[in-house]
Amino acid sequence: MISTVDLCKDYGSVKALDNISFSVGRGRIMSIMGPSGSGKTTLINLIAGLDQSTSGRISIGGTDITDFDNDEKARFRLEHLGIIFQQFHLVDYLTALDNVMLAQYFHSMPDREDAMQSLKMVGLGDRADHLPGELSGGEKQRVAIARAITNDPELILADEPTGNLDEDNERMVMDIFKELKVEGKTIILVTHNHSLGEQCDEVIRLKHGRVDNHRIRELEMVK
Amino acid sequence: MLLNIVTKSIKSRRDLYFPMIMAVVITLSLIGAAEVVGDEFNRVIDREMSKYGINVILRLEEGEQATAGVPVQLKTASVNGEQKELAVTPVFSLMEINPAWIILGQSDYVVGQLVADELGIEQGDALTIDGALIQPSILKSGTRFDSYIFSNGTPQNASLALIRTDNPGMYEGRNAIILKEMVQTRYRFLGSIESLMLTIAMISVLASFATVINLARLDAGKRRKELGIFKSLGGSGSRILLLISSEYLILSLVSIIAGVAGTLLLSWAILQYVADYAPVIGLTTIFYISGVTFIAFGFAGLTYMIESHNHNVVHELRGV
Repeated sequence: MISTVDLCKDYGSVKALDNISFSVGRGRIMSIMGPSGSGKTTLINLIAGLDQSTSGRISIGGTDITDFDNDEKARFRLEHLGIIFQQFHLVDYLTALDNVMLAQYFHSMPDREDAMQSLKMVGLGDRADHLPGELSGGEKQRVAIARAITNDPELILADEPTGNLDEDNERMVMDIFKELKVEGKTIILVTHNHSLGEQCDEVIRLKHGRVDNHRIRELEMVK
Repeated sequence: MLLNIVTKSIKSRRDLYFPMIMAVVITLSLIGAAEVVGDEFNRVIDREMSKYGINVILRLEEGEQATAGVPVQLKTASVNGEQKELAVTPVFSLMEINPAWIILGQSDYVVGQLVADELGIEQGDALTIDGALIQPSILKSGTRFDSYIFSNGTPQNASLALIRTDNPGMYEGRNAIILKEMVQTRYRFLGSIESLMLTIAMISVLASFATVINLARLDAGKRRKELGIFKSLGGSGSRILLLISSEYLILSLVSIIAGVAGTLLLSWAILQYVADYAPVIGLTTIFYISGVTFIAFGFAGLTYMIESHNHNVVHELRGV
């Protein structure tokens, strides 16, 4: 489903990512783990097309997105990706339902029913008309998940999706991811939470911008 | 959905957009009211003039006789070598064409058609009058001229002529009072108010444009994260531009409506002391108001686009 080949990202003289190569198949949950500054968020930003790599290739669903321009990346995100951020990144003046429909607006046509369905899937059908300021952290993250899945993407990228959540909400979010996996979606999530990482099919550990370890549940690989 | 997002966005930014709109509306009210005051100035003049029925008072000069309704002089003209005595009159004081006259104007020489036929002259032919060679124009019969009322009731030996004319400017330089100039002098305070308001409006235009552009820059900075969210969701440049443009379009429409209201209020405050005043906003005023508004918010939109162009999405999401 997704693969990277010798992916590098430099910020001036700082090598944030150094020759990252991996692949993950369809319908898998993969976690990217590592200490602060290891390049986890940088890697996921590159996969999402939110940033430009210095060198290397990224391929998603057989499409090489490395050389896409900003509009092409935006279109690709629309069609194939759903992104969940640690800080939720909801639009403050739009309700939960509006935030989900916003993703639909950019994709094609907003569909209130579909958006409500996405909210109900994450257990927030009764909070549709609430503003982000009126929601808890867990609820905001679930709205972000609903927004990410409403356009039925093949690949979901989540950067520290449970970073600001308590245990109960964390469990709730992982349950949702497992349901999405059953539907055939591929999920890559960045986390520093070991217990979360252990629940994933594959775990890549980064250290100083390099792959330190790539563990597949069926097969152990140590680099 | 677009309208929903745009109206909620505007509502959430009212602390920024309200001063923007106010700056523009104040300018629009000044420009609009100046236009209305100027228009009313002209209407007042016309209303006053229509009460008089005449628009020029001409003092007839010594030696000028009024014959058959017009002051004339007798001149000897040489026409094709023949000496003829003809009555001549300044072209601007002619009441009706007398076929026996040659009309001698200050800047133009005209011959009535019947006179021309009688003298056997055509357009372009030359006559000698008082030693000067002139080429008169042939004036067709039935041409409309000014109307006269004479001070002593008869054209003979009249000292004043009260004239109704379509072209009072023709009497400038004569011993005449142009009544419109008198009325304009009486109401010149309206003209002064109009000029003052236009001067203030021009300064206000500069101030309001600067305000709007700076607030747009501030808005672009504050919205960086929001734009990052839109882009991370796959929003293309054109779709995002549509959102922003729609906001500024709504702001423009609100400003135009408020500007028209401000114009009515301000012009009423100035003109309520003028008799028979009724607030009237013409199409020209609305055109100026709309034009200034769209230019102001157009600059704002352009500023916004420049400030938000080509930022890194990751930085935008961080609000950097």
